[in-house]
Amino acid sequence: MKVLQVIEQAFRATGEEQDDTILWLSRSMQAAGADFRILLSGNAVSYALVQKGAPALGFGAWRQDHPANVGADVGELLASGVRIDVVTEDLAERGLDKKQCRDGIQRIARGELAELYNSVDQVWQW
Amino acid sequence: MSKPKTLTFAFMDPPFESARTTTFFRLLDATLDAGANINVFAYEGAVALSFVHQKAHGNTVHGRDVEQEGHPLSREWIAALQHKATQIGATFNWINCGLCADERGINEVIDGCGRGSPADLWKFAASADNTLVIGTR
Amino acid sequence: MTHYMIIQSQDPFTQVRALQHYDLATSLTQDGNTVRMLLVQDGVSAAHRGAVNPAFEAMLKGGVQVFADAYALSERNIDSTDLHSGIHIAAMDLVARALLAGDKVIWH
Repeated sequence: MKVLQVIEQAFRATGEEQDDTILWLSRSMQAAGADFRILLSGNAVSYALVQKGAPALGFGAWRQDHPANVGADVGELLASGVRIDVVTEDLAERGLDKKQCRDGIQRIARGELAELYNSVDQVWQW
Repeated sequence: MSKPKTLTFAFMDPPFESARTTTFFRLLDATLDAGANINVFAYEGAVALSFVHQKAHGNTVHGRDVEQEGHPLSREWIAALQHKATQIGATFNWINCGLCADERGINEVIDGCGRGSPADLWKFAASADNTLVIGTR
Repeated sequence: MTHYMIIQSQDPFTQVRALQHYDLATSLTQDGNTVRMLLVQDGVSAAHRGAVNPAFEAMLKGGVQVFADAYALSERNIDSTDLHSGIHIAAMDLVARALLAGDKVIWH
C-alpha cells in the first residue's frame, strides 16, 4: 500500500516537540514497513528550503538542549529513499519560488496534483 | 455472509477544543451502524480523549448542578462506542500514542484503550480496508 | 477512474486554504474521477445561497457533487431552502459508506 502524506502546516509545536510531529510520525512508521511519499503544501513548503535547526528556546533558567532540526529530518527522509514533492504555486505565493529547494526535493504544479493523488492508494492529509 | 470490513482512523485533537471531535465521534458511530470494525490511533492531544480522570461538572451559568448538567465526557463516548461494538459483534481497537501520553501525563486511560506508536497506525492501516486521517488545525 | 470523498471542514472566509481544496476537488473531477465533497462544521458556511465565493461556485459548476452535513446546518439554522442549488443534505453515514466502498477519503 502506497500512501501520500500531505503536510500542509509548518512549525506547529516544533518548539515543544523538537521536531515536526508529522515528519517524526512518518519516520517512525518506516520501522513498521510503511511505504509513503510526502507532499509539502501550504506553509509546509518552507520545509523544502530549511537547512538548519530552529533556535533553542529559553524560559527563565530553563534552556532547551535539542531544538527541532526540520532540515535534518527532511534530509533523513530523503536519504532513506522517500520521495518528497513541493507545490510550486505554494512556494510562489510565499515569494519562495526563486529560492533553491534542497537537493532531492521535486517541484510539482497544482495542475499535476490530480495525477499524483491518483497514483497512490491512500491520501493522508495532516 | 461476507466478512465485516475494518476502517482505521487517525485523530489528533484533544477533547473540548474543536468541532472536529464531535464530527469524528459521529463518524465512528455511523461506521458501527454500517457494521464495520474500527481501529483508532489517537495522536498528540487526542490521547486525552480516553483519560480516565475526566470529570463532569455542574454549571452555574447554566443554572444546573452536576447531575442536571450531564456534561459530556469523551471517555464516556469511547466507552459507549466500545459497548455498541460489542453488541453488534464488531471490534473496536483504540491505541494512544505512548510518547504523546507520557509528555502530557495522560497515562491513565479507560479500559480497552491501549498504548502504542506510529508503527501501530501503519499496522492498523495496512490491515484495514480503508483509512482516514483527521489532522488537527 | 477513482472515487474521491472529501470532507471539507474549513471555510473560504476565514481559512484561505479552503480555496485550494475547492480547486483540487475540481481538478480531480476534470481528471476523470468522481468527486464528492461533504461540507462539515464551518465548511457549511459556503453552502448558504447568499454566500458569495467564486471558487466555491466554480467547484459547484465543475462537476463536484457537494453535500452539507445536516448536523452542522441545523446548528447554524440553515435549512434546505437556504442552500445553493445542487447541494444535498447528508450525514456521516455518507463518509462511512464511502470508506467502506474503498473511496479515497480526505479530510480538509
